[in-house]
Amino acid sequence: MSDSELVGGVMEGKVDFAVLMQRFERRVHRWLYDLVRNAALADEMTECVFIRANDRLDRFDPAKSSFCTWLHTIAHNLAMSYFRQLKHEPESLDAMDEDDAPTVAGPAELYEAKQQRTRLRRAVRKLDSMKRRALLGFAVKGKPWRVIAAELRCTERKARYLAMAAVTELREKL
Amino acid sequence: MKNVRRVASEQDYTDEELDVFGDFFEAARDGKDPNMEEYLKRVPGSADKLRPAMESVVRLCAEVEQLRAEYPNVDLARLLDPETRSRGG
Repeated sequence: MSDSELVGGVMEGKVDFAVLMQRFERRVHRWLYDLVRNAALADEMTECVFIRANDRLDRFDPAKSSFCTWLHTIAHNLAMSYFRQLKHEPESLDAMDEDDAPTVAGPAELYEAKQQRTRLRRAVRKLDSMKRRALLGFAVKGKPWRVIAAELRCTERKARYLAMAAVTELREKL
Repeated sequence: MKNVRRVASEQDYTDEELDVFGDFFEAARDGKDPNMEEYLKRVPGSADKLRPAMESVVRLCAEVEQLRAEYPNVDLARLLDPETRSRGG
């Protein structure tokens, strides 16, 4: 059964949601693990993604996106909420809902997370100067394209292209 | 015959494609949780071409958020840019 047939079956009540979950669970877990680098936290978040997906299935529109993309958006939003909470309220983890509280990472996971950060830093440093400046100026310093273009003495189009080339290169290296 | 992959250049992208990429990047950077498919609809036929870069943007923005959480008092640009560090600013 194709993904769309399966989703259609669940939406019509002919197929159990658990079957859908089984098909996409590992993918969702992998996306989340790539982001949070903590297996236990990725487990909890994966469960949350499917609870949300099940609650909101009537809002899924196959004409607008694939089910996979829709799930990816839910997972991404969940991870971003987690990071924002971590950034703005690091002292208030006790106040989080029990369901949202992150699990403490073990030594192996902390080591892997640190390795990942190190790989990212190395890959960014190895970008050529123009690409790195366009990328960091935009993503980290929060400058508008116009300012980056002026600093690099190029057009805004070129600045966007340099950033795109930089993220593409990082994707290949990571 | 050896399969040699051609490196993409700026000329491989239209103004519209780069605009969509730039707008999506801005929304992701600013924490607006942009819907990738909505942006891709602005450039029909270019979805497969732009999607990998946009997915990388999502991942990169998440990594930057995480670095900020890990190093709240550190200038990340300085941490990631060897030129800035060697220039001392």
